[in-house]
Parts: sequence; C-alpha cells; structure tokens
Amino acid sequence: MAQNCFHCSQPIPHNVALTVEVNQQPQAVCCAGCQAVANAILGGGMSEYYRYRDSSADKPEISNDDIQQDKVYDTDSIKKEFVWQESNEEVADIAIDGLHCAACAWLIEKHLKQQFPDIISINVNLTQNRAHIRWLKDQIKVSELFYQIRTIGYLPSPFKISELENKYHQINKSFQKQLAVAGLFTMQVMMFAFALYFGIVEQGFAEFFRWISLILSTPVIFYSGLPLIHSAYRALKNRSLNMDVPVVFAILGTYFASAYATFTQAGEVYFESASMFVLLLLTSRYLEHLAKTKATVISANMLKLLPMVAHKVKGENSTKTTVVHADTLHKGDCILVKAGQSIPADGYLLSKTCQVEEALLNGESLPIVKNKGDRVYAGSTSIDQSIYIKVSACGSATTLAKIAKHQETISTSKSKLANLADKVARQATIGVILLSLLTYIVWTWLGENALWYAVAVLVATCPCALSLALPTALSAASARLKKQGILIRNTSALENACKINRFAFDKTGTLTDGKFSIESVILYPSCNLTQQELLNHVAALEKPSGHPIASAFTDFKADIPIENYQLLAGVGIQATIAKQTWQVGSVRLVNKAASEHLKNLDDTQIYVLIDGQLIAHINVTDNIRNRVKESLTALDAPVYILSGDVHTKVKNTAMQLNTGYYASLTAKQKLSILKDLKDSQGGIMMVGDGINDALVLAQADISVAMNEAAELNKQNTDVVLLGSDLSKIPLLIATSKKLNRIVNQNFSWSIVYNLLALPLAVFGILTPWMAVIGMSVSSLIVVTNSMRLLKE
Amino acid sequence: MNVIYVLIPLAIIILIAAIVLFFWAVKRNQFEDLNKQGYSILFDDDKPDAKK
Repeated sequence: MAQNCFHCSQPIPHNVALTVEVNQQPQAVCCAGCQAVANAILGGGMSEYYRYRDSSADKPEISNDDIQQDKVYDTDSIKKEFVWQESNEEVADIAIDGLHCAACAWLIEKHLKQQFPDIISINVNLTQNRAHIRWLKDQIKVSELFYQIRTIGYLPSPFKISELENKYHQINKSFQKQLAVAGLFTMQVMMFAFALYFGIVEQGFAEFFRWISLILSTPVIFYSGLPLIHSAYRALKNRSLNMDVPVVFAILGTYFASAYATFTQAGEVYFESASMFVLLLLTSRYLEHLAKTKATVISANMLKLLPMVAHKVKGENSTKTTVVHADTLHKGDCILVKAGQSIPADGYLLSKTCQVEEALLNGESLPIVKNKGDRVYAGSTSIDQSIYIKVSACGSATTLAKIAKHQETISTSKSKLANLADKVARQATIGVILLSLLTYIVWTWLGENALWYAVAVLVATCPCALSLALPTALSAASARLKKQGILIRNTSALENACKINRFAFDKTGTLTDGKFSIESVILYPSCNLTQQELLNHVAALEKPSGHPIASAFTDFKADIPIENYQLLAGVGIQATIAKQTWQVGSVRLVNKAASEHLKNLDDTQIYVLIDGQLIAHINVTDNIRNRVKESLTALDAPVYILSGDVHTKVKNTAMQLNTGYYASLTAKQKLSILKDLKDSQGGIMMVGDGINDALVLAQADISVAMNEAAELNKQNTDVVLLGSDLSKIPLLIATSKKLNRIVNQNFSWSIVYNLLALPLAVFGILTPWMAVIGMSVSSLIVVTNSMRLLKE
Repeated sequence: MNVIYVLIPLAIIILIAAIVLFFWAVKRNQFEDLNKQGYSILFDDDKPDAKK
C-alpha cells in the first residue's frame, strides 16, 4: 500500500522504511531529510505544526555545501550588507523559501526562539515570505541562524529591503491611522446629523450638537483628508486638474460654510456630508495602495535570486579565495564558483569545460555544456564542477537584471479602457467645476444663498462612481481568481483575456512536468541482458547524476555496485560495473563509438554501451501533466507549442495534445514566431516559464507563468498560475468575460447617474446631504455590482 | 436630558482612547501580516517551562 510521508506528504518509495515517533506512534517518512526535519520539529515540542498546517511541507534539501556556504555571511563585509546595527542590537531581514501557511511562520518563530535565547524579537511575515529578526549584538552568528532555519526544512537567504518598499510601508501605516480616525469620527458625526435632520432633539441641544459635530469632523477633514488635500494641491500647483480638485473644493467648502453657520448660529450644517466623503474616498485610495504595495514586495523578493557573495581569486588555478560582495566585483576580476552554486556575475569561462543549468534564464531544464571562453550568465548554476570565471558584468549590469528591468517597463503600461476612463473623468472634472461656478453665480444673481447649490453640484456630479467602476471590478475579479490560485499581476491582462483567440505554450515545465519516463527499450542483438536487468544497470549509473533524465529511472532498483563513476560533460556517464566499462548517454556517445547503422538519431534516446559496443537504446519522453488535454480542449481555440526542445520530442507532445508546434527554437525565433502569430491572428496568450521565455512572454498580449517556473519570471508576467493546473486558464477567460460585462454595467450606471443628478443639483432640487447620499449610493451600487465578481 | 452634556464628552473621550490604542497598534506593526495573526490563538499554548 502506498503511503505518504508524514512530513512532506509525498509518496514513500517502497524501499524506504524510515519513521518518526509522533505521540508514541511511529509515522512513516520518505527520506532521511524529512526524518531529520520532523525530528527537529517534534523534539522541540512543536507538534502542533502538523496539526494546524493547511498544506504540507516541501521536501527538505539540506546539504553540507549550503551550510558551509552560509558561513560567508559571518564575514563583516558581507554581513553589513543586510544586517543593521542598532545600539547593541542587530537586525536582519531574511527571505525564507518554503513558507506555506501560518503554521510555518509559527514554527520558525518558535524554533529560533528556542534555539537562541539572545533573540530579542522575531516576526515571520507570511505575505512577504520574510523573517524580521532582532538579536543582541555579537551573540548570534548569521550562519547559525541560517543553519537552524534549514534544520526545520526552510531555505533562508539574506535580503535587503528596498527604499521604495520602505516608503510604501510608511504610507501604508499612515493610511491605516487616517482610516481609523475617519471611520470612528464620521460615525459619531453622522449620529448627531441624524438627530439634527429629523428634528428629534430639543432646540437647546441642537446648537450643542452642531458644535460637537464641528469638533469631531475637524480631524476627519484635516488629518484623514490630508492625502486628498495634498493631491489636489499638487495638481493645482502644476496648473493641472485631477479628480481630487473638485472633491477637495466640495469638502473644504462644505466644512467651512458649516463652521460659519455654527459660529453665526444661522443656516444649515453639513459636517456629516464632508466627513462621509473623506471616509469613502480614503477607503478607495487605501485599497489601491495595498495593491501597489503587493507588487513591490514581489519584485523586491526577486533580488535574492542573484547570489550576494562571490569568491574572488587572484587568477586561474589559484585556490586562495577572498569573499567579496557580488556588487563590488569589477570587470576582469577572476572568481571561483563551486559545483552546485549559482554564478554571481556575468563572465567568460576560464576553466576548460563545464555543464551549467540556465533554467532561470531559458527555462529549459537540461544542462548546457560550456567550453573555455564561452559566456556564462549570472543566476545560472554550475552543475558538475568548480569553475573559474572572468567577470564581464555584475549587479544591475548582468543579463538577468537587465531582462528583469526590461520586463518592468513593459508591464507598467496602462490598459486602453483604464486610460479612457481616466480621460473621461478628467474632462468631467473640469465640467463639474465650471458648472458649479455657474450655478453659484446664477443663484447668487437670483438672490439666494448659492453656496449649498454649488456644493450640491460639486458632490452630486463628482465622477466618483465613474472612477470606481473599473478599479473595484478589477480588484474583485483578481481577489476571486487569487482564491483559485491565479495571481493577476497586470490588470489589463484580466480585462483583455476574453479577447484572446490564440494560445502559445512553452513545453518543458509547462505542458510537461519536467520529469521523464521510459517509453520503450530497444535491445540490440549484442545485448545479453534482459530488459529489466538492463534498466536496473542504467538506473544504478544514473542514480548519482543530477541530470533530469535520471528522473526516468527512479522507479528501478539501483543497487548494483558501480566503480570509477565519471561524468562525460555534455555526453553522458561512464562507470565500471563488474569490470565492464558502461557508458550511458546521448547520441554523441554513439558518434564517438563510430556506429553507422543507426537512423533517426536524436536526443530523446539514451544509448547504452558496454566496452564501446552499443547494446541498447532507451526512448524517454517528458511526462505530460495531468488534465492538460482537457484544459486545452476547453480553451476552444488554436493552440501552439513553442519550444526550444528538439524536434521529435516536441512533435510527440504536440501529437498527443493535438496542437500545432514549432520546435528547436532559440529565444529570438520564439519571439518572431509569436509576432507572426499575433500579427496574422489577433490576441495571443503565451504560457511559459524561464527568463529567456520572459522576453517572449512579454511580447504576447497576455503572458502567463506557472508557479514552478523560475521565481524571477513570476513577477514579470501578467498572470501567475499557482500550482501546475492548466485548467485554470479557461477559468481566467471566463472571469474576464464576466468582468467586462460588469464593468460595462458599472460605466453605464455611473454615466446615467451623473447625467440624472446634474440637472437636479443645478436647479437646486438636491441639497448637499441628498447629493452626498446620491453620490455614495451610486458608488455603492458600483462597488456592490463589482463584488458580484467575488462570488462563484 | 441634561445628562447628555456629560455623556457625549464621555463618549468622545472613549473614542479618543480607542484611536490612541489603534495608533499604538499600528506603530507596533500589528497590522503587517493579517494572515498569520488569525492562527496565533491556535498555537499559543506555550508550556509553562517555555515561558521566560
């Protein structure tokens, strides 16, 4: 019976019999890593973690290399980059990978507090995936902190908060305070206004109520209303108009006129209208700000992808390294990158040869062979050996950073509809101000107290509902999609998703899960093993290699002893089994063996040779993800696969999924094909991963990234799918259709309202309180209508 | 009805107290991460010896 791991919930391989003891009951775990982590958690008395978590943990990967590498963070020059000194305390922000739920946050907080009595405070922020830790100076080494985080199965990395984020953080706090003041005081003012309007108080109290209202509404206008007043002031100073100008006129006009009426004890007061107005507007500003903050947090987390530390060496073959901050490298410096580490800067390879994985840059999981003099890029990983690199660019000059920046400029452009709504609202604003002036003049000429008529016009015709129509609908739709695991990064994508009539998919990691399975095994006459024996041998050979192809063989017993294990860079593996030299690898291996009678040579086949003689080949295919086919059918539109992978593999996948395909593409070719598809066929959606894909993704009308895609890419696409379920794409499109319907209703309603309210206000039929209620109700209708998007 | 002259100022004082409390909470970053705090009640069963 297949059982799942107690810690990470993955199936337990049948040859593993490890357990941990939970409440005197043995529970099975899948690997030594999970066992160690679970024991650390349970041993610390934190078993509640398992009770309350709502998603299972990642499979822990604790390697001694990582722990060794953490030691460099103790070096002063590196440490000062992310650890702050405050009197006799030290403060650091640490980005943590693998956080899933509140239980994780609790676990880390509790574990670190137990381990280090010198920690003053620790706060794990779940929304930002970061821990903020404060400890007594010199009492704790950063590497030890990191080590403890690793022992409970999370991946720490140092993190530096950006200026922009700090600023947003401050604004966020002041918004919260202003909202609290506005909310609480407005409630009071409205209570008194209610009593005043309906005349349920005796005459003597009325005046007292007015004074109280004046006092209570003052902080609302001049403290909570500050962002509005600021924005209007800035606009006027630049001799332009924005939505806030008439709003602020109306608020201040109402407030001062009411204050005047209170002092002179004559005329009407409308303190509640002014306060309510501030509260409503402030709420919408705050929501807008929250959305913006989230975006910066995501992009700030990306910084951690580039390694912070570089090992500088005097020259090639020198083993004496100095640890420096990666940004301080210079062109021409020589650095050492150990196997398994990511490369901190762009440069040229000085070592003879190596395999690097550039999944972060191009999304393809297969390692690439680099020879001496080839360019290597920051963010890629050296897989098989330590290499020396001559630096050509570092920090923000690296290809990785440039691509990320390029992407940012692409995604900030606003959608057509939002621009149109802005434009209409701006012009309406000018109209509103002119109209209220006119109203004021005419009514004064008629010998009436014209101020309230003018205020009524300002308030009633304020294009508030119009300006709420789109943003509220968008945020409701994004919130709803978020619950389904679809993150919207660029809202115009959500608006336009329903117009998409072509789809392009990357293959590896998108349609397929990046793992391989064996399709067929062909034994040559020279082979005297059975198929099962052969596969067991191959599995034993593949086991030590980190190559993705090895994933095809994990189901086999790999217990045959091997000797002289050796990686043939870019070709395959060689080892000795029972005194025979076995070689397993790509077609290049066969060329070396000078075999001629083979046709259809390509990379989907693995060749097996004993003592240089070909004995078998194995066809492997990428595993197509579950439910991909149904999802693609549900799209009901032409689908293309654009892949950098070899022709036969892509064709295979395309045949199975019944799609069009383009294979063996470089990033540039992908880009031009996408352009062609776009030009001839209208809106196109591209789904993919990887950074090289990122440029291609940006070219698509809507770009979608999968969660398992490289982290950096995640924040550059319009849409991110959490988890690997492609059936979310039809859902995205359905929501987009619904969104457009609701936005149209909102626009029609708010325009109709403004046109209706206008004559009523101008002719003095509306008093300010009616106008405020009218305005609020129309906004409320728009908001409520938008909220329908939240429902199923 | 004259009691209203006492009650309303009293209400305002309570209101101001509430706002001061809220400002304090904001300053202490209590509204930073609203997802996590909801769970804190589940975990807060520190054993006595774990306390300082």
